[in-house]
Amino acid sequence: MIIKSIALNNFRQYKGAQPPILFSTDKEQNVTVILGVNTSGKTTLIQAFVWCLYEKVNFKTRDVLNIEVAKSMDLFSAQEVFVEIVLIHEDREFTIRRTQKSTKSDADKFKTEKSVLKIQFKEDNGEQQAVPSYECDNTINKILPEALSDYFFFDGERISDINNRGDVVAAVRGLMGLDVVGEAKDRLDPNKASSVTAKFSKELDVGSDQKNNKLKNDLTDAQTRLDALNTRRKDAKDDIEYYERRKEELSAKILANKDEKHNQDKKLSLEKDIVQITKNIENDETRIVKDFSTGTMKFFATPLIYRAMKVIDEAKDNGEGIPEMRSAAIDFILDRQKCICGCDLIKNEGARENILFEQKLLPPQHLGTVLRTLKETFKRYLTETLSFCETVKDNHTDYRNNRNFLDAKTDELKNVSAKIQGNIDVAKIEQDYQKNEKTLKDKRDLLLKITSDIGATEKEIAEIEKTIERLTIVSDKNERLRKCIAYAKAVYEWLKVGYDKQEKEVKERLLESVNNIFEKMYHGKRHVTISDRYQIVLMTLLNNDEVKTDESKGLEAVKNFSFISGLVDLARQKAHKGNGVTDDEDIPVNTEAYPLVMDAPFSNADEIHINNISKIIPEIAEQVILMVMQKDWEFARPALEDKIGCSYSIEKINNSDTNSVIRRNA
Amino acid sequence: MFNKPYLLKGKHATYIRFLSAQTKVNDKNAKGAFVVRTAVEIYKTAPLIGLGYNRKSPEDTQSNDSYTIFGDAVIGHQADLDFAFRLVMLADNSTELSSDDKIDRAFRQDEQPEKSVENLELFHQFMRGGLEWLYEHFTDGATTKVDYLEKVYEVVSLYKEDFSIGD
Amino acid sequence: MESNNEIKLELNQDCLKILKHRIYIMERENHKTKKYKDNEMVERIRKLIEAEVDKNDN
Repeated sequence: MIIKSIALNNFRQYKGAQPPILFSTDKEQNVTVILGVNTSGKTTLIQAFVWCLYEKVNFKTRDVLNIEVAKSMDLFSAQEVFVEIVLIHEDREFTIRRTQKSTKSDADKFKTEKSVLKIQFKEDNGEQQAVPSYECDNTINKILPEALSDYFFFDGERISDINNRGDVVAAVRGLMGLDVVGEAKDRLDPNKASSVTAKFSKELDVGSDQKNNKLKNDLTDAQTRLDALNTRRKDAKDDIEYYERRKEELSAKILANKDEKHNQDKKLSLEKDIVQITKNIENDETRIVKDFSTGTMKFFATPLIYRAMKVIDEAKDNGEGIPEMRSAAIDFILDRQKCICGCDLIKNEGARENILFEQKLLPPQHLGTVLRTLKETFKRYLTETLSFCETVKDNHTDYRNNRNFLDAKTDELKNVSAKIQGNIDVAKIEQDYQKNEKTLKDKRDLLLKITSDIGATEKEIAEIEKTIERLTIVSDKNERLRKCIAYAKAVYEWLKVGYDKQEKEVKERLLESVNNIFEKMYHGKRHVTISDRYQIVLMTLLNNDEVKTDESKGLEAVKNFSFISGLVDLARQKAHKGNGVTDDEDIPVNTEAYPLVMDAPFSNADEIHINNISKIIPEIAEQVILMVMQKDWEFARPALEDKIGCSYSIEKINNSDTNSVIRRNA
Repeated sequence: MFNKPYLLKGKHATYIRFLSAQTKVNDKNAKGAFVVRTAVEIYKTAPLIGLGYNRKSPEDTQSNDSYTIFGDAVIGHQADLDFAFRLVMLADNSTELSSDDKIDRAFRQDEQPEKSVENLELFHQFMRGGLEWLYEHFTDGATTKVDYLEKVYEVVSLYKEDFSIGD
Repeated sequence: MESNNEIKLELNQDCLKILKHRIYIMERENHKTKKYKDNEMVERIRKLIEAEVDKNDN
């Protein structure tokens, strides 16, 4: 940015309209000197710049209207104060005029309106284009940020305030031309609520997104479960098939072995029978012998009995005798000579005769009784004969039958035994069959359950898919938004990277510049560093450590001067590098040279410094405007002489503090 | 009579041993028909069979076999033996005796030693004959226990038929 | 706010290049002319991005 001219009207001690001060815009002789004694208005000049651009006043009094003019105003008349600056910024000529109208309302009272700022720029075709009023301040800040104004409008007397001024960052940024990129970056910064990215993000339907993800997970879950269930169903079906086949096998086995079982049972039964029959047979045998033995004599006696009976009947001897008495018994009695009744038989002949007679009747003498008895016995025996025969016959029949029975059973047993495999445990097969039945039932129940679960899961999946579809519509919107966000972020990152890179570079070079200049101006073991917030810090090497040190005013002046110079220098370098927009990824930094307007820069410096500073100044700025006191000028002039493009003097009219003029020197 | 042991000799001893079940009781490995429980029961039956078939047989001296029916067995069956004796004496027609004589012989000659011995001898001859009959019939086509036991019925049936018992 | 942007999105590099260029030009232009206010710029850039995204999808 180059300042072409400044014109003051009624601005403080510059009474009336002053002719514009035209500053040197020459590249070689780029210094404009304005000489003036103290209080002549040097500082005022700088302040005119500041007031015009920023409506800032540093005076004790706020009024800018020339006092004399103010005094001479008629009541209710109005006067204007204006300052008009013409400058060139980014190849465009801007005319900036700030006007303040004051109306005298009373003898010493003024109604001062708010100042009006008007900015115009010259279009390519030469026509003046006005900048909208609401954009004026912005425009000015783009040209020269207010935060940096203290550096470019260097008020040497207020050095110490410099570092404490507001936020230099943005100002430097603007100066260094990072502002477009910075703005673009900020416009896309995801962390800034007003940014494009943030606005996109706000529109994201977070809820549904999360819901969607959960649903997707649920869906995958359900599908996995379904797959597993289907596998299990197949397995269950296979199992059932297997067990059904087994059931058939076992059934067949049981059936085949039904006979076996039957035979085994039959065998047992037969064996039991055989034992019984054998016992029966034994009994039969015993009975046969017993019955035969018992009745045999009587039986075989039968035909003889008939003969005997005939004999008995034919016999004449049928006398009756004393039953059961035998002849021998009577012989015994006769020998005893005493009867049973006690009668003496020797003496009693009659008794003896009787007994002898009885003896005759007794067997063997007289057999009637015997025979009678015998005959009865015969008869009895005869009756038993037939039943004996029957018994023998029956016994025989039984015996034979039982033996046949036994034979039959034995044969049967043999047959049945032949059929028996012997090794098959039919009971176990039946057990296996039952177990198999149970397993089969369990498997069938399981299959039912799995099928039911499959149905439920399929239903679940359908439900989820329906819900997802509903959300997809929202999700599509989200999808788009996310893409936008991604792009916005990507562009942001690109801008940020570029910006940071540039800023880093800027800082490095600034630091370099500053230290360069500082070293030229100051000889000692010191250098400056720049903090993140562009604050200049003087560092001293003290026993190999770098420490921050307090500064004298002179040193501070040098420090600040170095900083400004560094900034300006940097701006100048960049400006000369050109500022095309390249196609590659470099961020173009648009910056331009800046003038240095200095008021009493030497006031706190000593000779040497003045000289040093003077030497540097022209090199670091595109355009230098110096307001100096005569006495300081003496020291500076040698170094600057060749560079002076034009010079002015501020003169007090009549030594008045309230009336100064600026005259151009030859 | 029939109050002391009786000794069988020769083949008759063999026969009675063969027919008596008692033999098996005493000797498990013995072979025989064993169709009558005790020897004495055969002893008291055999004379009736011998007389029935008019078969007498003297004592056998061919073999040394002997069989004793013990005294207590004889005495135990004394009444039956008496009966059998009297019956044989009454029914025997092998001598030319009258019925009265037969009665005498059957009942009155027990204490007459000569007669008693003669009568007993007759009894025993029939007994041996009957024993032979029994033996022959029980061994006819019979070799097993079953055979013998079946023979019981056969023998009884035969006898029944031969003497028209029950007709 | 960023938690749901975990998914990596494939960005079309041509599209991105276009956006970078056009956003920068837009900003630079507006920086000179001050034609649009801040929120207006935000809207313009938004539309620009959305338009490119839609174009890219189709």
